[in-house]
Amino acid sequence: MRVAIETILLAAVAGLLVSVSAGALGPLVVFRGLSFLVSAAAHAALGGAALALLLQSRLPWLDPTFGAAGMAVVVASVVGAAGRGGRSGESMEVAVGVSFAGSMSLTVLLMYWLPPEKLPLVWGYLVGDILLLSPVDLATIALTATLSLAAITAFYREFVYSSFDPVGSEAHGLRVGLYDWIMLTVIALSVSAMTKAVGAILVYALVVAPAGAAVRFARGPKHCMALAFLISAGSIAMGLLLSAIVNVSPSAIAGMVSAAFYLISLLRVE
Amino acid sequence: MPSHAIEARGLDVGYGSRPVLRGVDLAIPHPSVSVIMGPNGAGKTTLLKASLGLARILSGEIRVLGVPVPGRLEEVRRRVAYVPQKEEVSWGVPLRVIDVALMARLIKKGPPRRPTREDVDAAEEALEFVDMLWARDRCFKKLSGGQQQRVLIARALASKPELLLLDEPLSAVDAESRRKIAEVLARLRDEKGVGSVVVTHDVNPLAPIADYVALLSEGRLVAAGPLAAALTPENLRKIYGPVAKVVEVGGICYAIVGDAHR
Ligand SMILES: Nc1ncnc2c1ncn2[C@@H]1O[C@H](COP(=O)(O)OP(=O)(O)OP(=O)(O)O)[C@@H](O)[C@H]1O
Ligand SMILES: [Mg+2]
Repeated sequence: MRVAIETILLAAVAGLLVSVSAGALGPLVVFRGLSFLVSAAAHAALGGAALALLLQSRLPWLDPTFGAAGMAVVVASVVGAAGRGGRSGESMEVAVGVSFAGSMSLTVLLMYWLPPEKLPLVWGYLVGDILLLSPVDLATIALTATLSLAAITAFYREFVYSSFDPVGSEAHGLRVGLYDWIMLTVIALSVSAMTKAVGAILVYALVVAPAGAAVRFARGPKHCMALAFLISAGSIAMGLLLSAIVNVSPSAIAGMVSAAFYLISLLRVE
Repeated sequence: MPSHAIEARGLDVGYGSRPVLRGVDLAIPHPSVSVIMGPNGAGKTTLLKASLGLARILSGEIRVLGVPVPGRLEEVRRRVAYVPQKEEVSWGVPLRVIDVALMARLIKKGPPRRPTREDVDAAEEALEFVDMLWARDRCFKKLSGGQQQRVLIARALASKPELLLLDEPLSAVDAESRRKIAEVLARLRDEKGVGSVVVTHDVNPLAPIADYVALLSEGRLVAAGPLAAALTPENLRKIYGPVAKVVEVGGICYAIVGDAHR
């Protein structure tokens, strides 16, 4: 299969936007010890998309994107609520796992009722394809990349402080619950948008692995975000280049490259 | 009117509906270096958290610097600074010492929390006060436990509080750092009129400078007052059990449980 050059260019733009979100948000989930939130949000997007497709028979305007975003926000809110009242780390971690399993169960259940011709749309969320994005998909990713950048610009210290020391921050007057919720919601929305492009499984590789590698070298949170962006963008670029030459899935290559970055970072002894 | 650091009357505190602190009546002088002691689970941390509106007040009342909690919580959080147990701080975030020292001050400033020259000066002055300015640009998580503890104290100080609430600042800290921390607290009281309430298992390093001690056991106040008056053999056995050996050094009694001095 030969891929048209426009398709590759469009995919490159999408990849760059994905990297912006990955760079801004990946370090936050790693700082918070909540990396699986990315997987949970992605699978919630899958369930949300399936739900929207089912409801389309009654509500024809309901795009799966809305379903995906809506369900991702539900997961973010559940995780945020679980974290209230100190001891946030552990209880959030469990809420993430439960959301993950819950949305996968929902997806399986809904797929039983979905008309067969719609099933590929759901599978699309599981594996994703950066070469098959519609203009609407691209616009959605652009929107959430902008949202990620805006959130991190406006609330950088609030997010970092709540992650570093939630109890101490609240004691000095920071509304930790509010900023946690904003942070989780932005992460969930961005992940749900990226899932369409790279798939529910690979989104973890592209958001968490670069941040996990970056944090081992970073001198500070901002430095970590810049490095994570570069690793993510580099991995996607590599994936697109290779897929233009040989017939392989660009997301799969990108996921493997970013995982390789992470493995290499482990060699560094502190 | 000289108000108290913490003043509690008939105070019940909990996290759910079950009270963890029960019927606490207490008046900690201000400015002072005051110590809260008691076995694990006695409710020491909970008393500090209640003072900051981080635990639920089920009945009774509590005032901090004369200000009622939770009624005027925002004022309390502005005038008081908290030094949490080191274990509450997450190691995942790569922050420099100066970034940590700025946190409490910038939080109290409200959004947008951009540091000005004045903020950085205050943070540096606080680091200098605890003898940690040399580590200004070091990575916080790579410092030793005692050094981290001093940075967390500097973080509190940079926000220019009238009262410090410290949760086990002496645990996992070597003798030299303990001495430095005790000296910092005494200087704050004597030179700046800043009081401290310190939760600790080891009153030794603070005994020469502390003004007041409160003994908690199983959520109840067992005794409170000046050290020599409150740290009696009877009171120490009440909280640490009859097996505790009590020794007297310089007019103050210590309990010895296993091989740890209390
Ligand atoms: N967030 C919480 N939710 C529910 N219960 C809690 C919470 N924090 C503490 N408790 C309970 O409150 C009681 C008092 O705990 P607290 O942390 O105040 O003890 P402490 O005196 O500080 O003990 P330690 O010396 O171990 O630090 C304990 O029984 C504990 O299980
Ligand atoms: Mg405690």
